[in-house]
Amino acid sequence: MHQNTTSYALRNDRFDRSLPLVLVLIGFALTFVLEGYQLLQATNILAFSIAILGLNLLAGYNGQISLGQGAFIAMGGYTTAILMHRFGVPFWLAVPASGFTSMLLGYLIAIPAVRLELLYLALATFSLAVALPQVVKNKLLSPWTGGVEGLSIPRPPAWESLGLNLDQTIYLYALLVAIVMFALIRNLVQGRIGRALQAIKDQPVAAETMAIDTRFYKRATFAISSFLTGIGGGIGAVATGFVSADSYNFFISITLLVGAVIGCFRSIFGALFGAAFIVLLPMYLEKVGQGVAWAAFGAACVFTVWVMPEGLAGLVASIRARLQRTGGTNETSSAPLPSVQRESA
Amino acid sequence: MSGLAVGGVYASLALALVMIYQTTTLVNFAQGEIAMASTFLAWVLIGHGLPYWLAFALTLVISFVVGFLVEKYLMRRFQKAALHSVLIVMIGLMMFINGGIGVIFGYEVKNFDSPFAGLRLAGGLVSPHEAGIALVTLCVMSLVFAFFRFTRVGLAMKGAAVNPLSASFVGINVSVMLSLGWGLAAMIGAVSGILSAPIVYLDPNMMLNVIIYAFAGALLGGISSAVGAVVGGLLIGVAENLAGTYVVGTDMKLVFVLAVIIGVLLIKPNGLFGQTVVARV
Repeated sequence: MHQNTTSYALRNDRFDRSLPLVLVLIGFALTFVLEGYQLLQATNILAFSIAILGLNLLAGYNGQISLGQGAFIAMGGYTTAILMHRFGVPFWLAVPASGFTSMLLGYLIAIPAVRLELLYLALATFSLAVALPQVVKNKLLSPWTGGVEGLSIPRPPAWESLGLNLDQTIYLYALLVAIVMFALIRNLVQGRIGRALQAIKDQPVAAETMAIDTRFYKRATFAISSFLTGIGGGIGAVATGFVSADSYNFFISITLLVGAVIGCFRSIFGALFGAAFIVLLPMYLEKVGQGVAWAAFGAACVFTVWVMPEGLAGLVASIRARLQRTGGTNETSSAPLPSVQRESA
Repeated sequence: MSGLAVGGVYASLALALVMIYQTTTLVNFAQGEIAMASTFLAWVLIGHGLPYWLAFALTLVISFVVGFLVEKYLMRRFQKAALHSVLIVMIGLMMFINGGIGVIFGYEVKNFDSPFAGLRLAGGLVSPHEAGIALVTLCVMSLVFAFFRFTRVGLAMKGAAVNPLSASFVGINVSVMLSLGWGLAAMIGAVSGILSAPIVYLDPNMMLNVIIYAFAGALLGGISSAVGAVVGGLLIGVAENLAGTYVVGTDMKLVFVLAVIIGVLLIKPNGLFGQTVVARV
């Protein structure tokens, strides 16, 4: 695994440069193509993609894991809800603010968490995910969180000067935030910090001897990841218009993990694939019956790790590599595809 | 007293976790769901008119076989994969079982009758089912310990866990031992599932909280120690009950357990009975 950890985002070629542009154009176009419920789902996909991006950074680039990302979704959602409901803060300000409160929470959790081994980190965060609704329902917090009843969020005014209705406004806002976040994280992982994070993941001891402050970087990654997930939670709350303890249950944490796995942990745009998967699949499968989506998620996880450890983004990359090869010189055609090799460590 | 009985349930699930940890140094996140599936199996068997204890025994046997096969045909493929991948596979397995059982049986809560309803013990101080749990758990524990202490297969399993390479040199089939570990874990988990069903009722999410208590029990006792798992599970049962009644309130029990887990991990990661493992770089 150490020989071919070159991730897709690190490779800078024409495809990588044109893909974001195409996605952004499609994103803007969708503002006027979709309507009503579809637009809400599209907003949810964007919100989840930002949250999954955070998990990708944490797990894919830095080799940590969190099965309790729901905590940060909840933190983001509740911050947005409380700011809008109780203080009348406009939504475009409440969402970034919820990123920062999540970041603070993430940093506090990271102080003990980065000391744990991967398995125990998984265990602790898994328990956090299960206990989360009880934490949120806590009587001490209920004057703020609305306790068991939850908290409704006032509908924000639409950006009418741009000729948009409310659904379009929220979607467009989510799109703008997503573009900024994806651009930031893409730059982050391509630069010096990104290499430090990968070094910590692949060779922690070597990284330490090269004067990389492992503990600092791990905490920082945890905090940034929480920031992103909190932003996602905030946007999700604005789109739904309601937050309650039961909407931040165990399943939301695991669903995020599924999205990250499906999209490919070590990919920036994989987060978008993964988010689309976890939002759209249940929509169709829940009609078949309760639990079908969940079983499909489980099967998809096992299947992904089994046959394409690099996820959907890896599949796209390998198809791309194949296409490029047939178009280019034949010299490299005998080389094995790096993206389809099994991971082993 | 009732804490001790519930603790018995946690202890047996914790024992199942330790069983797999000892052979593979993994914590099986799907253990609770496997136990849940076994409980549904027992429910179906009883529903078909089988006597309780026959259904119980049959469930254990089938759970053992299924656990064995899951290891042999699924987990084995990820034996050399990165820990990340294995964790994801186990979470995936968990979701798959949870969703699958949900599809087949639905999510409405079902009653699961206790076989001990007729008993009266200690002048009604203990509920019959609780006394029954304690009794069955005690039997299971004794059997497990006897198995590892007195049988050749038990010894071989221990050998395969402690030093796979040397074990294979003396003719132990290490890969069969790994599958056996999963099979036994599924069997012990089934006991905990069937015993907890009359308390938490039967639905696909029934083990979600129980597995957290079992994690806490296993960690508290030291995840590499079977004795530790039993003691830890019992302690968690009692502590949870006391804390729920007197300290944090019943609606915050999970938060209490979460605090125990994090506390143990930070202060004494090897638990009360665990051995310190030194990794060579």
